[in-house]
Amino acid sequence: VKRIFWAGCPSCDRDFIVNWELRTGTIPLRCPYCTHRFLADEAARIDERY
Amino acid sequence: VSTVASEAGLLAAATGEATEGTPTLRQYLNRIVGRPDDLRVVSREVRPADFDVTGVLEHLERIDQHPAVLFTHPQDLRGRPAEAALLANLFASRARCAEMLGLDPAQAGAELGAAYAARVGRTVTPVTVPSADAPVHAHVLQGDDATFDALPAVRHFEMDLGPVLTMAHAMRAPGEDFYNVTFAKTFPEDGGRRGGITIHTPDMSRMLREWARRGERVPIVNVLGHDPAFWLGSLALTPYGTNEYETIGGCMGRPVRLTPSVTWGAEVMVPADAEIVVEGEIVPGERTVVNPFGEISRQYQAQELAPVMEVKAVTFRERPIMQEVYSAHREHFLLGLIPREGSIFNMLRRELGNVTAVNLPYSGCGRFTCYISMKDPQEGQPKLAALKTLAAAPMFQTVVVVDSDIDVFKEEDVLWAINMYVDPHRDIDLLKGMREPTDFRAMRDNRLLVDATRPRHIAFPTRPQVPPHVLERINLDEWLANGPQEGNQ
Repeated sequence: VKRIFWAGCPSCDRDFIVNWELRTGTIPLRCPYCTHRFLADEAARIDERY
Repeated sequence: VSTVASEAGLLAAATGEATEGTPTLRQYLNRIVGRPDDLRVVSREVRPADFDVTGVLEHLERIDQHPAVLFTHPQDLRGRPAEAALLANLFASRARCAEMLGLDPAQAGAELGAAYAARVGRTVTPVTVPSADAPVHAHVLQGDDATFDALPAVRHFEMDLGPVLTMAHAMRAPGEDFYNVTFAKTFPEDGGRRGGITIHTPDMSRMLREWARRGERVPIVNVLGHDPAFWLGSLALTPYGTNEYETIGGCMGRPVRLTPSVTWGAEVMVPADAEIVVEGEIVPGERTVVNPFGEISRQYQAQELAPVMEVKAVTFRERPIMQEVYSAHREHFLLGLIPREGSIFNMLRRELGNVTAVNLPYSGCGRFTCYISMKDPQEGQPKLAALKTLAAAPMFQTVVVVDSDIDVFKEEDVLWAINMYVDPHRDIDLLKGMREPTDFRAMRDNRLLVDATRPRHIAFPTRPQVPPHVLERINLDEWLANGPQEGNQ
């Protein structure tokens, strides 16, 4: 099973799930609720338990 | 939700369509119009990108109704009235799937998978028709007009990244003359000029790798409406190298009619009788963010990177009907489980002989759980059947084998057999370290085999039964004909 993490959007504060491949790097996540784009390190919170 | 379809003017167009093989989409809609259990029509204007479509489908689901729903006036992605009507949930009933394959609706049990396997085993070579004779080329949008935004794409669930096109893509292998046809989601972006495609199936992924080695743009065709058996045939489990237009033709019982694409000509052929076709190219090395999306396991699939398709042309019929799958629900489960039931049933019958039925229940999303029944299994045979099944289809998480007097299509009976016949120490095996599933499951790479056949190595009770000759003697319709009235007198 691919590893995932939960990211909290810094704009709307809602959480969504993301594949581990986007945990680091320069490709922004895209919030499905408000379309805000942000890097994983900029998330309001991260749940990356595995 | 209305049962009146005539106002749509969509269903009258079945004349002049194919007369051999399985019904065309419009012929089938004509057949089920007036059957509210099978077709409902929403004629008000709806906003598919704002959950209107899945809102209707979820309401129906919650009252245990699973009709196809035709939305005659959906908005496109820019909020304009769409050219296309929208049809969802067509495949949400086994009886309808049986009908769409030319069977009697009563043959929706074990016969369905077997009939399907027989159909796709008889491949039919496609035929070519000129563009002028291709209904899908009635309207052609190219250049700036060619965008996904003209389509009534559906946003399904709250956490979905956005509206999605859920039907199949066709791709030709590089330097070869065979096509793969695979369901894959498209997430329109950038004003509809491009979209991310989630390709996870082994064969199309292999084709993509072959194209990537060449560093060329990859022609890809998104088919968004076609005859029911076209979709069912596209899901057959075939080895790499199979021309799936031939397999689909077998399922349809007539050749798939192909026509040269408007973008690449005869180099890439497209289905002439499709409702809508989007021609595009996958850009080498480019990827975009797609998902979350509510997927087959009834869980959200996580955000990820996916290849990018640039739209080159959008072509469609007069008054096209765009199809869409209500993902994570019955329709989604049925589309994949019917081909698997058939292929596993055939394999087990060939290798063991006494297998009587195979069911992939909705509780396992039609993918992860397999119920098998066997007639008078010998010692060890249930376990062997389960192992063979897992070897053929490692995506299963749990395989349960029962006796043939248990109807594998009645889950209550299967669970009864587990409750009464299974000694966990003796009858349940845990296989560790199988292939990791792509879907999230707490069991991860482990699998469960359950032998729920009646113990034969010890004295064990049997099930109570009314004598069979009595059941044969009593014709229920005759005996009950005036029963309630007499009882009330």
